[in-house]
Amino acid sequence: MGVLFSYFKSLIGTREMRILILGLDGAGKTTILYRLQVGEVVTTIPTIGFNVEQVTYKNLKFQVWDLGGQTSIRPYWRCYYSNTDAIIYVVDSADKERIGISKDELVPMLREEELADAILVVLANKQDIPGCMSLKEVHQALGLDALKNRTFQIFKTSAIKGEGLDNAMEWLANALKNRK
Amino acid sequence: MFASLKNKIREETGSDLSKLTAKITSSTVQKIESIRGRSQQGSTSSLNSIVSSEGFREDGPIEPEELRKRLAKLESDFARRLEQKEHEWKEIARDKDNRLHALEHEKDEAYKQISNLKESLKNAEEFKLKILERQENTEQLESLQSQELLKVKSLVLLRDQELAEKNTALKDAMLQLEKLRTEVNRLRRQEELLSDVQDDLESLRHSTSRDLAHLAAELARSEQERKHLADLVVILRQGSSSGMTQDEKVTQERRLLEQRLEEAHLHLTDIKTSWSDKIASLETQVGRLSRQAAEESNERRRAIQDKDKLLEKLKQLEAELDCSKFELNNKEAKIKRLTEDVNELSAELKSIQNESDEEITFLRTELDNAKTELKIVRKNLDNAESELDKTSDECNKLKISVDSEHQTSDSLREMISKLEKDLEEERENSLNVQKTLTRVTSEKNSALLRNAEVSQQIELIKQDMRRQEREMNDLMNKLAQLEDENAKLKESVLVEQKLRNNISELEEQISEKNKNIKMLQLRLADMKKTLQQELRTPGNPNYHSDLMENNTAAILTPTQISTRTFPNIVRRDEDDVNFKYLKHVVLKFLTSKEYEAQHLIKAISTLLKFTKEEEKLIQDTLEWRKSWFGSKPKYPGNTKSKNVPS
Repeated sequence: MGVLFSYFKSLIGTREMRILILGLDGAGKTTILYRLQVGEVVTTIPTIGFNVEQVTYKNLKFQVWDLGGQTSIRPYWRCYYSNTDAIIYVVDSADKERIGISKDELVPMLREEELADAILVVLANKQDIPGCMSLKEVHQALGLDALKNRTFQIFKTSAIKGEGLDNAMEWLANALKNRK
Repeated sequence: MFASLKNKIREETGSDLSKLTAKITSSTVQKIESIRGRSQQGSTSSLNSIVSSEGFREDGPIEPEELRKRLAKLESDFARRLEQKEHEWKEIARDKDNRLHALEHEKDEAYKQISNLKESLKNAEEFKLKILERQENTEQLESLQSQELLKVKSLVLLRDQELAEKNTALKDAMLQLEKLRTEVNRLRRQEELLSDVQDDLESLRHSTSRDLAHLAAELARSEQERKHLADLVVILRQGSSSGMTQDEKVTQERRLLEQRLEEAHLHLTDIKTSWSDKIASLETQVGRLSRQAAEESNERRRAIQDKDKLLEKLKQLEAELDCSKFELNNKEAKIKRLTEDVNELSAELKSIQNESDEEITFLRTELDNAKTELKIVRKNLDNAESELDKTSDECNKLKISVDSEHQTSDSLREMISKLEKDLEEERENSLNVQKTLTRVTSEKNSALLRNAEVSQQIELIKQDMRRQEREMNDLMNKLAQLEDENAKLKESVLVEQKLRNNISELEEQISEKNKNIKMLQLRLADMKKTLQQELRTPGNPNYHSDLMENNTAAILTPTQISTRTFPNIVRRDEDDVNFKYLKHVVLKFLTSKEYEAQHLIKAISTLLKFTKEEEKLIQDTLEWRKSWFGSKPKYPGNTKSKNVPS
């Protein structure tokens, strides 16, 4: 049965890439998801739960999961880690007070065994806000220097203006292709 | 609901309870937030301590002295712990300084080693240069030798060419000689032919002379015969002159004899012509032969001359050959000498090459040794550098950790001071709370009294209602009676009208009263709810069970109510978020495709605290639904259970 099933699956095509968009509440995860899917800025409310959408980029199909980032539901992130190909970790560059919390969420997450092979893309979002942290400052504040054995890249983005997302997705698509 | 209660209380008492509660909650929330924000990592211990202090504080309002004591104790505790930590950190810092010193010492040693290694590296490079010079020298030597060899070879080649030319000339001469010899042979044969021809000529001469002699002899004989005949004629004429008859006979005879003579003459002329013809032909033959002989002798003479010339030439060529042979010998000797020279030179070259090879191999081995040494040295260097890096990293880490520890100690100090401030605030708060508490309790009591009054009123109203209902029934009875009467009488329309008016009035009154009752019941329910919410005490984790108990016993001690107000609100908010989250996930799980649903099993299991069997059952069910075969999985606990989702 299983053999037959996998045979049919191979007929249908390659597996879609499973991507999680994570980050603190209000970092812009849902906006980024819908910017990637429909290419427009949609008005969002705080996500209590999650959004999941199909995104196609450069002939690669992604199943993108945007998980709510509120403090009380952050512990449920780990329920979604299995079979994840890549993580898009979104940081609010203008929120200097909570960058430490963002780091404290990111660091233990990267220690999870289920995410050992996942590619990491960090998006320093909200670069359109004046006085926000630079890419270097975000890099330092998240302690990305200490990362080892991890395919990762950091990009500065503005989901509202739609800047930087294409670069990030192109890099991610290449990284996923090269990984195979 | 809470707001309505507050309003009610405000209505009843005129005072503002919300300010009070808001003050309490806001201050505590701020505190909790500040603590959370300040230190996420190390907050567990401090939070615990705060929670425990809160726990103390719950009892605090009753015994402020004890609270103060505990506070003092806490302070001393904190101070002691701080000192301890500082001491520890100082020790750690000292340790790390010592390690730093040691590492620096190691670093110096490593540098020394590095300088030594660099010197050896220089030596090795000098060796390398020497080897290169040697190699250059040997190469120059080799090139010189090869040049000389080339010269010699070119000389030999030239000689060879000359020799080949001479040989070809010699061969030509030999060929000419051979030709001449064949010609001589041919001439010799012609000589023989000539002699044969001369012999033939001689024999022909002999034969012609013999023929001549024979002919002369015949001629003489015929002459004699003619003379004889002439004699005969003369005789006969003498006989004829003596007698005529005899004369006639003699003339006849003479005539016959003359005829015979003439015949003989003719015959003789014939012979003479044939002989002259023969002689002429013979003479022509002789002339031809003599010409031939002369030609042949000429030819012979020429051939002899040629032969002489050829012999002379041959001699000359032989002399030349000898000369060239001599020269060839000389040249061969020279070539031999030169090849010997070449051999000598090549031997020398070989020996030199061998020497240089040996030298090169020696130098190479030396170079290899130097290289291995160099590698070792480099490795050592790298190791030393890596060690150095490591040590410096460690140093840095240690410095960083010392710094961070200093920072944390500072932050702890700040926290302590803040906590002290908070404590002060809390003390003030507690005093305030105590004051407000007494007021609130009195308010509570009055509210409860009011509540009792209201319930009494309700009772009264209910009684009223019952009475009115009874009255209404009576009236209805009366009405029936009246209607009967009316039917019976039909005259008393006015009375009926009156009575109807009366009835409507009474009905209105009843509806009004009913409305009133409903209003009062709603208010009562509201008040009950708000009271219950106020009375909910989630101080301990199993507050739900408390709630269940408290549903029946609505009245609690005032202290319990006041202290349990704040956490309840926070918990309800979180519950709300958690509930919304659960609702969202379940909704998505139920509406999504199987592939997505599979990823949601874990989340749902975590949210609803499923056991592993239950989680597996959901997974199997999903797999079953996705595939076309197999049987429906069953719950392992009870096989005929209805828990199985279909």
